[in-house]
Amino acid sequence: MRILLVEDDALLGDALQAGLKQAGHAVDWVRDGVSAETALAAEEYAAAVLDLGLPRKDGIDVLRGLRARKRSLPVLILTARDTVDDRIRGLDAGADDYLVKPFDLGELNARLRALLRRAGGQPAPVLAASGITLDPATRAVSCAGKTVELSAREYALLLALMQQPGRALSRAQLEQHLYAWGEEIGSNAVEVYIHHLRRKLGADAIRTLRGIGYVVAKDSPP
Amino acid sequence: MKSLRLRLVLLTTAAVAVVWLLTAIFTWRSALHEIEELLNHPPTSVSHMQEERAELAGEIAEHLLMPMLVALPGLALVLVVAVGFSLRPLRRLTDDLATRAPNRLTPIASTDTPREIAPLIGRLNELFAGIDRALQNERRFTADASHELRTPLAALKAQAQVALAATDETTRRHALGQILLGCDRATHLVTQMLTLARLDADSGQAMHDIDLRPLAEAVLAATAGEAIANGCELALAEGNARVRGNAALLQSLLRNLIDNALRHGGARQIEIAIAQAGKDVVLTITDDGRGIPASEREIVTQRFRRGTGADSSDAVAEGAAGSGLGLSIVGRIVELHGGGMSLDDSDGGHGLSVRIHLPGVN
Repeated sequence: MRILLVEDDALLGDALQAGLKQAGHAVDWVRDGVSAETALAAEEYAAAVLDLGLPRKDGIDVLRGLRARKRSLPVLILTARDTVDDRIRGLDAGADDYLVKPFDLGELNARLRALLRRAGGQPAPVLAASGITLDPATRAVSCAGKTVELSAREYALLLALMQQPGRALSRAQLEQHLYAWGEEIGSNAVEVYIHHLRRKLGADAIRTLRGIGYVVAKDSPP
Repeated sequence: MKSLRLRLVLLTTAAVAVVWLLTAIFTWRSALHEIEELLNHPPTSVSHMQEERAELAGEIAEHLLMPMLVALPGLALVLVVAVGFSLRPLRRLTDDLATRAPNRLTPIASTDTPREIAPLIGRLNELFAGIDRALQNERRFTADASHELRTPLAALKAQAQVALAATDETTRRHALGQILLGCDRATHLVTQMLTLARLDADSGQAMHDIDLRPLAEAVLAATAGEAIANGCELALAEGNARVRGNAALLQSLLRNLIDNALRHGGARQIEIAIAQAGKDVVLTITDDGRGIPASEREIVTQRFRRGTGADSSDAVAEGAAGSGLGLSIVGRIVELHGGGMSLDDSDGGHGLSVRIHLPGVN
C-alpha cells in the first residue's frame, strides 16, 4: 500500500519510513504541511500518517483541508501532546486514529492495517479470495492450504489486488501501490511480478482483463 | 478610620478625657459643697480656720484621687478593648496567612486595611504574584520539556524496532547509526534544558570586570573545529571592551550564538565584533546564513520555538534539529546581565545579525 508519511523530525521520519517499508508499504515522506498538501493533491494514497506539530502548516489544518475536499483516505495522527483535548481536536478534525509519541512501531502498523481494512470494506483481518489467503498482520500467504513465500513487491501487489477482490486494478494503479517517489519503476515490472505470482499461486489466481488490468476473482457466496 | 495610629490615639485620648471629665465634675461638686459649708459656718478662731483649711485641701485632694483610683482599671479595660479593636485587621491578615495552603497564591483582599499595614499586604501580594508567575513558568517548562522529549524518544524506539526487524545489514546499520545520532540529540536537549533551568533558578551570579576579547578568542578557538567541519569561517573583528559580567555565562552565550549560526543558520562566515558604545558594550554576531524572517524574530527567542529556517529540509537533513532553547538561553543570560538583545538582518540583507548590549565598566 502506498502511504504518505508527514513528519518533520528527521530521525523519527527516517525510522517510520523504514518501519513502514518493512511492513510492505511504499512510503512517501514529506516534512511540512504545505508539501503534505501538494503530495495529497498529486497522488492517490491508501492512507496517511500525519504528525500534528508541523512547520509551515499545522497538521490539523492539513487534515481539515483534506476533509473539506471530501477526501476519505484513512489518516492516523501522531502527537506529542497527550491531553484528551488534543486527541479530541485531532479526531474531530477528521483523523481516523491517533498515536501518542513515543509509540510502538508494531502498534502503528497494526492500526494502519485496521484502517486500511475498514477503508477497503474488509471486515475480516485475514483476506481470502480465489483459494488464496493473505494475513496482513503476519504477511503470511497461502494457496490451497500451502504456505507461499513472496518477495516484498510480490506481496504488495497481491495485497492490493486482494484488498478488493473482483475489482480490476490497472497497471498504473498497481505501480502507485508498489513504488514510492524516487524509486525506479521498470517498464514491465508489474507484468514481471504478476508472472511470478502466477507461477507461485497458479495460473488462474490473477486474471488479466485485456485493456483494463488485473483482478483476483471474488469468492462466490456459498 | 484608615490609620491604625490615628485610631489608637483617638481612642486613648477619648478614654482619658472621659475619666478626666468625671474627676473634674466630682471634684467640683465636693469642693462646692465644702466651700458652702465653710461659708455657712465661718471659722471662729485662727486655729479653727487652719483646721478647716487643711480639711478642705484634704477633701479636694481625696476627691481628685478617688475617681482616678476607680477609673484607672476601667481605663485599662477600655484600652485593652480599644487596642484589640484597632489591631483587628492585623489579626485578619494573620488568620488569612495561617490558613493559606502553600499553593494558594491569590492576592490578599486589601479592602478596609489600615494605612500602616497596607504596604505590608501590597508587598506580600507582589511576592505571591511573583511566586505564582515563577511556578507557572516552571509548570509550563516541565510540560513543554516532556513534550519535547517525546519526539526523540519516539524516534529512538522506532529506530530500534526497525533495527530489530531488519533482515539486511545495510538497514540495520543505518538504524543503529540513527539511534546513536538520536542519543546525541536527546543529550543535547537535556543539557540545554538543565542550563536554562539553572539560569532560571539562579539570579545571583557573581559578576566581575571582564575583558570580552580574550573571552571571545577562547570560545572561537574551542568552536573552530566544528566550524571547519561545516565549511564555515570564524572571524573576530578588531576591538575590545570591558564589561561587568560572569565569564562562564558570557562564554555560554557566545557558544550558543555561534552554534545557532553554524547548525541552524547554515552560515559560511561568522563575524564577532566587540565595541564600546557610550557606557554600554555592544557585542555583535553576524552571519551570512539563512537568517530569520522578521515575522519570526519574536517567537524564536521563546522556549522550544524554532524558526522555519531551522526546520528547512537542508537543516534537518544535516541532522541539526536543535533543542529550540539556544536563543532562550542567550536571552536569559543577557537578562541576568541587565542587558538587551536584538535580532536584525545582517548588512548584506542576507543572514542574521545578533546585537547584544551589555553594561560596561565605569
